Amino acid sequence: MSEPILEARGLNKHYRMGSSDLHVLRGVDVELAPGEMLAILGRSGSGKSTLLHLLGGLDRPDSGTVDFNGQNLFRLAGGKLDRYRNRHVGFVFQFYHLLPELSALENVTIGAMLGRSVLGWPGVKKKVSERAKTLLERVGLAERMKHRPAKLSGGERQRVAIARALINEPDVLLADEPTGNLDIETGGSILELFHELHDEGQTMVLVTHDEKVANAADRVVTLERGKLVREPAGSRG
Amino acid sequence: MYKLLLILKYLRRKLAPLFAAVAVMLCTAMVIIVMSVMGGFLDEFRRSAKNLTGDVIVEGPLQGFAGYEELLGRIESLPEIEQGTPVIETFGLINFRDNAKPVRIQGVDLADLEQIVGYKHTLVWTPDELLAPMREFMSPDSDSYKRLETILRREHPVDPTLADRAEGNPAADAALADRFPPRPEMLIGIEVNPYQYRDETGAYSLERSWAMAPAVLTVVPLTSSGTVGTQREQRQDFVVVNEFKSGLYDIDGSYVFVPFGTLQRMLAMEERTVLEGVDPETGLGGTEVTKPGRANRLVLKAAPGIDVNDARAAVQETIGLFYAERDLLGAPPRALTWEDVHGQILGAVQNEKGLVTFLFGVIGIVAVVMVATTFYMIVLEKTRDIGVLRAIGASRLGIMQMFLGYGLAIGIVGSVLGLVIAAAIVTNLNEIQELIAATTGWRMWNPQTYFFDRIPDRVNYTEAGRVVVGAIVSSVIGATLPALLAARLKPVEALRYE
Repeated sequence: MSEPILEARGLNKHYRMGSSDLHVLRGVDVELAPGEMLAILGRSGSGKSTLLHLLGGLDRPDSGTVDFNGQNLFRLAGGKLDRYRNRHVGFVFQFYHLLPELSALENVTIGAMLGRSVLGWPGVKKKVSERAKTLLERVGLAERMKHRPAKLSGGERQRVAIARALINEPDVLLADEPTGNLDIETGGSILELFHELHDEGQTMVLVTHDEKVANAADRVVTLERGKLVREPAGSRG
Repeated sequence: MYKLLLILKYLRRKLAPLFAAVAVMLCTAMVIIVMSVMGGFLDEFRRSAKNLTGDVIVEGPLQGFAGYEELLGRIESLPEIEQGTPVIETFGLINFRDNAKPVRIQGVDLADLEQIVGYKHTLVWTPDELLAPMREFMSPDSDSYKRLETILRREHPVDPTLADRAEGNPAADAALADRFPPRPEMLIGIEVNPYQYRDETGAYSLERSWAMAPAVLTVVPLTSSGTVGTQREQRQDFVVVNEFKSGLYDIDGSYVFVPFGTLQRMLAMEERTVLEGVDPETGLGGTEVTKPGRANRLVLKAAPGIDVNDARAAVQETIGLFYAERDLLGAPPRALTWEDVHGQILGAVQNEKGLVTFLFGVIGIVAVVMVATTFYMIVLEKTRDIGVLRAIGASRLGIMQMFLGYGLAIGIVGSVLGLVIAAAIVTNLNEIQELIAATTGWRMWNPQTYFFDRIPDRVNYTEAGRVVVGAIVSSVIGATLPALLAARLKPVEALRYE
């Protein structure tokens, strides 16, 4: 196995919910190799989304580390962590989380606008715009670029979200229940898209409660009560 | 770059920022309108107050002070003073067709007054207006009409020598003697005439005017020590040649102008020889004493570019030296600026402007609160979007800048629109009033009560600019707290927010 691109060690995370203390993650270790497609399987409330957020630098653990290419994310200065989220990972959420005021194309390009000043933008605008269009064509939305999210179906929205996640050519794609809000057929086509991306070499982590979805990955880990209970060998043929 | 894109999108796609912008717009417009109208009011008052007053006034006791010509000569040699003229101001009665009214009578050389403060622009009636009714009973070719026309078209409407001529040769203008006897002439303030009033458009009527009509002035001469002497009250027939309107009710409702020499003689203030030390029982004896002429005011014009307060100080110093040198008894005359003279009314208007601007400024705080509330709502509504933006790499600072920029954008849009609306309303205020009056019969500005025919309708763009900048700053301040809240949101919690 090659050097892991992402490596989590001893992740602990508590949440305080009123008077009760939720120990969501209890010492989780997980590794991700370049080009790998990892599925994190777990029931709702098992802490899988939290784990994904920690891997993506969106949240901080109470203890433990996440190393990206050997560098501890939580030792990075705030600006560098923002940059990590922007350049090195791409998020896909269950509820798409598109910005309702922006068109599909703008929702994709905004990821590239982040971290670029008003003055820096015109120089790259054309290139970014071309890439965004290519990505939207790639996810099958060539005809829907000018539409705002409200005019798109669930599947189409998720495709836009995937295109947005890919705009900065991230090292890792992090997907949180990407098919959880879609019917079986649409969900299937989204999964198909993930497979195609994976075949093209995209490293990705997929969080799901659906075993069928998880089984499509190279490797599946299961989270139960905040712990990884099983890490079977790759099951995808 | 994303901030700019989102600010523009949020501005166009959201109703809430529209409300905030409208609040900023209305507050800006309101403050600018109030400042413009009140400021215009104050400017108008200041202009009016300066009319007929002069830059610096030397004010002596009512009975006047001797040596005024010499003092004036000294003052005129000051570099701060360009020119001056002696004036006598006294109280008296004007009697017109069995109507008596107290007035303040000013004896002044109008040719000098024109050079010092200018009075001609305050005259209400033009020679043509005054001649028009005459043509109804006079042929324009008649000698009487031509003579009248010559009189009306003189450079100065008041001829200071007329009294002397009338005294010396009562039949000098025999042809006009019946209708227009050669009496000394005077100008009266338009509101001195109790029958004169402004119609609803604020205009005066020539028909109600006293112009070209005779009137009598009665004054009480005082001795040089300020007591009523042996002389009885003095009456003199005058003819009113024109009326003036300075714009300040204080002046226009109480002043009449007559030639300096005429009033000086009426008040026994000219240089004269009297017998003193007469035995009261026999009426014999006594010696002839020459009493110097007196005036009780000097009206002065400051040299160009000289501040009236500096000029006033220089004049006051000269008066002090003059009195010290001569060992003159009595309080020396005081030097006042035109602002001192009308200080009460100007101060009142200035205070009013300051107070109203302050009050509306306080209302302007409403705009800040409006912006803050709106932004707080926007932050709540956009919480998930903030989470998304953080997830795809936006920094806390970036989020804060976005909301501050959003506040700035709302401030700019609102206040610039407010400026445009205020300018449109202020410059058309009189037309708007006409429209309201025509449709509802209600007038917000009654020119019969106020002394200006028109509501001040000029925008002071320097002040308006300050208001606009203030509104923009207020909007940014209003956006600050919500922007900080937005920046502090934890991305994970923001994403979970429904």
